[in-house]
Amino acid sequence: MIQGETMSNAECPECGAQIAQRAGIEVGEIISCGDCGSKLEVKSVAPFGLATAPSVEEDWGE
Amino acid sequence: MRLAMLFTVLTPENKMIFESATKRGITLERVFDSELMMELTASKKEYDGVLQRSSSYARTLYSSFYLEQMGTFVCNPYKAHKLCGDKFLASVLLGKAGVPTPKTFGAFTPDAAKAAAKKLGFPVVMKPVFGSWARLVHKLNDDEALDAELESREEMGHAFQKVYYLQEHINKPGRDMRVFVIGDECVGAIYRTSTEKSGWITNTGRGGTASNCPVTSEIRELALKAANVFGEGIYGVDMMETGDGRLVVHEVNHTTEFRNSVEPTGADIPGKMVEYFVKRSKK
Repeated sequence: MIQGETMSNAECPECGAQIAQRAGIEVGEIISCGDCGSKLEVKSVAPFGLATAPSVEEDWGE
Repeated sequence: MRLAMLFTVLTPENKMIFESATKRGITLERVFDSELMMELTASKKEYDGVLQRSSSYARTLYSSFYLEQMGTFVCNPYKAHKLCGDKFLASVLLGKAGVPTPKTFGAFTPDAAKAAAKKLGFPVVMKPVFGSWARLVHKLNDDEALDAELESREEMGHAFQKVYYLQEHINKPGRDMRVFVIGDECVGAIYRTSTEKSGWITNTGRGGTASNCPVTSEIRELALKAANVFGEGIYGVDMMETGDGRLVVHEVNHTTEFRNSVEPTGADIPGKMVEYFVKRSKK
């Protein structure tokens, strides 16, 4: 797979925009919707599926 | 040997750790903490070692405790998470161990918190006992600001937000340091410099910038001493330079982030983490 190659699209669950799958993207990564700015979690890569990302909770950190 | 990494989301750090494991031919299973279903009353060991990278402090504590009781080596161990993740406990231990650290008071009521602030003198820094990324870390310049903070916490806070943690404000030179400790090795350090966006705070998650900090023998010794308070493991030790040229440790991070640190330091932090984790899991 060439870096940057588009594989498939998934729908933003917040605004319905089509989001292109980046090469190398993995389940569990958080991306932003280019249209509405929502944070989205990659739920699957084949097929490419997205869900609204979990909210950052008060106890999240390092 | 069956090894896994436990995490909430695939952060850039976690992705780097998986890549480092793959490069070394190590299979690190992916376990999302959201999918854990632990039968608490049965003894069941699934993994020899688990690298704990959950984003959630609550999930970190419970899953680490559970896994350790099942006989799994957890990195960092439960005890390290428990003690580092609670600033109240961490300050007590740092002070007791003689690690230079800002003067800090704990109190349970607004009146006691005000008495502590009087002892420290304004400005004081108030932090929640749990929390990260400088969230709700406030510099309070006078009684009025302190009163507002205390009233907010009393009216809106939960029980742990009413455990008041007040710290001496260190007039640092617009930066502090994050020092990475893996086992008994200090692998690198960054300066975190505050910006217009981050204000007085230096946290890179809040807009502070990262640049290489040469690891002097003083920095190394202090970082190792601070990390040792919490037991052998992987830590990000935060320290500040005081106006009179001393270094003080203000926090030890038990699930340290490093996404902005590999490039400026040139240190293979994820690779060293994986190597340490595998070595310790074999013991």
